[in-house]
Amino acid sequence: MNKAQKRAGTNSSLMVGMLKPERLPDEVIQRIFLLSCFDAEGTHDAVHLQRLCSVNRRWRRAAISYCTLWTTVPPIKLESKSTVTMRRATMSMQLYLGRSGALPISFEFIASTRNPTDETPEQWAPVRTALGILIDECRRWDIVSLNLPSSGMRELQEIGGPLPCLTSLEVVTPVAFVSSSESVQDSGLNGFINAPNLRRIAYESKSGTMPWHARSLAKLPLSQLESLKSVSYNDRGVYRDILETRLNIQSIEIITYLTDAIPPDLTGTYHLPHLTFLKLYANEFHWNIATHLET
Amino acid sequence: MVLLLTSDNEMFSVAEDVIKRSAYIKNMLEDVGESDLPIPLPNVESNVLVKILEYCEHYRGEPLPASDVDPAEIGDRSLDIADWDQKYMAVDQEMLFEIILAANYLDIKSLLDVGCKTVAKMMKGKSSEEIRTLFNIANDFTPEEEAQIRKENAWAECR
Repeated sequence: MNKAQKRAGTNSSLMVGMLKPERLPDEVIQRIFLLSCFDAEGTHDAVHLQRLCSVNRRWRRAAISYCTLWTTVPPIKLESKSTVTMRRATMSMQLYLGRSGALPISFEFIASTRNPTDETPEQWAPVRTALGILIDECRRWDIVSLNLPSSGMRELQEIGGPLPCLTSLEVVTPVAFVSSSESVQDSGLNGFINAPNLRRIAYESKSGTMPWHARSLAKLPLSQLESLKSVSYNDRGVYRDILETRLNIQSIEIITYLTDAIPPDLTGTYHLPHLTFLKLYANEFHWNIATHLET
Repeated sequence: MVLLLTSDNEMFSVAEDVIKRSAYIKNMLEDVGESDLPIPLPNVESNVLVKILEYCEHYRGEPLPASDVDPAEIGDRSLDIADWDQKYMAVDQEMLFEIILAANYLDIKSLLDVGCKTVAKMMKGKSSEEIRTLFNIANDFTPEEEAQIRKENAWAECR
């Protein structure tokens, strides 16, 4: 062992504070930030990012200038009618939108317990404003989860033009405050028709009074999907629709509460070459649901 | 064999297939061809190079990672570190940062990744103040900047 090798001897106890990481170039610090702010599944630790931004000026500058760190907006929770809470949620969202530059963004928008039909326009306005800010950036949407009351879905009609970055869409409308006379055009899902890279859709509506939602799913680009999950009381068509698209689907999960929603009258045989997961749930089946699938 | 000259003027003779884990050296050898002249490493001290060579020797024969991968695009963001790498990184903080700096300079992506993961794990779950203490970093924010940060952090609290 030469002199240098002796000097390089390992020491299992970390000597705190021996060398500040100031000599590390920004790109290395930013790589460390990236590793510490996202886990292996891509879940973002927003609190940790805030802490990194609060260490010193250099770290703050390095974090703020690294757009990738800001591409997963923390859950935008607008369920509370508290003005302060809604303002904070919106400002936090805007912070991420601003710092993520032009990169694709992912977010979860949560306002499902709100009911615009029961609220004054002033009460609903912050939700509309926040959604409007996001819609202005819709060309950057990547992985999107919208947890909205069904009557709030109509706000999405403002989406115009293609959504080139959208890869995954989750729509949850757990509570219905809308009459069954609503038309397909009101569903708000029409804005997602032009999403050439959309591969995953998860749609959930527990309302039994909204036939239009399930049918508006059919307008989405089903043929390009790899995964479809639909949870709906009265979804009568989406399973047939997805079978007929055949091409790329790898995972199908249809949960419905009507016995005829998974059609017994499928006459053709469908070959789904990439299918690896199939889950069909209904209250009861009176037929062999596998007969129409070619293995 | 490849000759390497460190910043403190120590000469190392290293097998080519060992040091080619460094994309910087690999490219240099491909550009210059065979030469008896040592490759100067003005940013690497001998004690650090010893550690770097220990790593390269351990992974001798393993496939080299793609050289044009953007760190932001690397799929593996897990903080899992292989057992041998963990033991290798069990060094004092000064050496840890020297290894990271050298891995960055020599463009040894896998070693840089292990170093960054090690530091990321050290910081995880710690407050800003604890991170400052850990790395001996001074808080250089002005009162105005502190106020701005407090405001931002208040937005974060509502999440």
